[in-house]
Amino acid sequence: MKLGLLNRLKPIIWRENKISLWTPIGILNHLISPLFYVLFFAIAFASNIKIIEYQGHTFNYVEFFVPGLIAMQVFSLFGFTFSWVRIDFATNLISVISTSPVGMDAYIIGKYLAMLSVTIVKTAILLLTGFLLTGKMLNMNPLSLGIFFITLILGSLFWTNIGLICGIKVKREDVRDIIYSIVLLPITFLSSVYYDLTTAPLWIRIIGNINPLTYITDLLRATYLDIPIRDYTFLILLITIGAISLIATINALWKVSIK
Amino acid sequence: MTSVAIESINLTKKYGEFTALDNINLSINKGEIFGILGPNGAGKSTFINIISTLLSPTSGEVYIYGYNVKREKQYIRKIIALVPQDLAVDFLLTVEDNLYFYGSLHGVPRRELKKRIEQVSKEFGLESKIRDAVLTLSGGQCRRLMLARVFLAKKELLILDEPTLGVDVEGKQYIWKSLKSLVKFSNNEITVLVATNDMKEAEELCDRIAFIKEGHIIALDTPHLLKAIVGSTAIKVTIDNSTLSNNWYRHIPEAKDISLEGDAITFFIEKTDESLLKALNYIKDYTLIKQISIREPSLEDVFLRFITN
Repeated sequence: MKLGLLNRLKPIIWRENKISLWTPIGILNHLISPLFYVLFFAIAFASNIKIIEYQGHTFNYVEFFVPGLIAMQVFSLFGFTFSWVRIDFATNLISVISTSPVGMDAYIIGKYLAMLSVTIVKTAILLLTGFLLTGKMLNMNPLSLGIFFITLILGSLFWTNIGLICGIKVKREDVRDIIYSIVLLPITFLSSVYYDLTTAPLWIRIIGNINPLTYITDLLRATYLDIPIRDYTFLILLITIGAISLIATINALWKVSIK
Repeated sequence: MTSVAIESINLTKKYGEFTALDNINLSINKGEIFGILGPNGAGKSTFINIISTLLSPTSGEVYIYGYNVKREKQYIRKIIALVPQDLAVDFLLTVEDNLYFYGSLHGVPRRELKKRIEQVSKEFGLESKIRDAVLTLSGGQCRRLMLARVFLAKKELLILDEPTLGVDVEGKQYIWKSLKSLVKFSNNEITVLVATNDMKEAEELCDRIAFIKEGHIIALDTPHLLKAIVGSTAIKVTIDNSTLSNNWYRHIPEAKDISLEGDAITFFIEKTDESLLKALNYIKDYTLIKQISIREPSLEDVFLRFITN
């Protein structure tokens, strides 16, 4: 009598696509904004920093920056999920879903899948634009390709979880605004998105190395630029924080859905 | 096959030290429209949330169509449709998308869904708004949408928490009529549980009503019999209030639930000419009667009697 997970996921994914992709704001946010990032940031930076030395190799700055932009798109899932989940709670959609045969497990999995599909679409746009600007293509070596996609999946899972937890816990608008202003910019700038972290001052390196955005950026960059991954610690750390965030999300949702 | 839709046995719900529901024993039959009335904080929403599987009881058992609310939530969720007290619509979608989404959540087949969307949007006066964003609807229209959704899902048990809050009079009448005909033509398959503070709604809609106060059921019967408890007739006598000094009005013979508001005494009396005459003669001995009005007691009178006493 219990509905299969696939059938329960259908309405959730339908809605996620409806609100996150197939609306003017969704199209602007997900399909057009990555282009803006490449055209405005990457080209503007590249006009000042023509080439960059990274792990003993020399790269065109746009080439260097494209994986960083992909990592930033993965990171943007945090803010995106945070906002939507807050809306879902505020509009009681959670109780509507909780009392339907679909259930909250499908809601969470549906969110992951929708966010992952958003990431894949954005990544494809960034890779294509990067290719048109620099001629650089994604390394098709199976190991590199595997690590590239595992990083995308784990990164999406992690930042979606953090967005889910914040969306569940944070009820006040002002607290949300503080989180946005205190967290978003420092996480972006204290990571390896824009520069090679190994050349930064010690204190920035220390913070940067505990910043999950650095793990995602470095793994994507290594596979994209076809350079050896220095060590797999970042991948192990990403798996670990992905798992911890998943447990924390289930725990947070359990507490609010059934009392 | 059992004829009971909801059965609660010694149901208790505690939030820390506070007891929201205390040993509730209740049986609601299939095909019944059952109302729960009570003041704010009486435990109505807690009861609704337990029936709709959003809350777990602290102790006691609840069965919905034979399924245990603690252990068989997934089965219960296949047969219930909830209209929560607060607005619960997806403001990011259109009216049509909201209906589509809700129907899909409840497993309505895609082909059937289109037909039902057309039908309920027409029934609930949302036809002209079907492609509009929900953000543009008024509060009353959002309520209609929430009710249209549960009609569309065609579930065995409809759980409605203040379903017509903010809906205009015409809209309310329409909704009550629709709910009644839905239950009537379901051949006792559809049951409705309504929590409301609207006495008129309870009176118009419900087959039976339970009054809840501080987590206890203090009265349970049909609206007609509940009204009979208060007394058959309500009498309002306007007098010269300068004569009220020694509280004589409290001792009107054969009168129940006597209250005074300004210069008007209200009381309830059995419907016999003799009782009425006796009461009026008593009043006449103390004061000048300016006006008399006689009316049937309402559920509001019942509510005030049970809740304030």
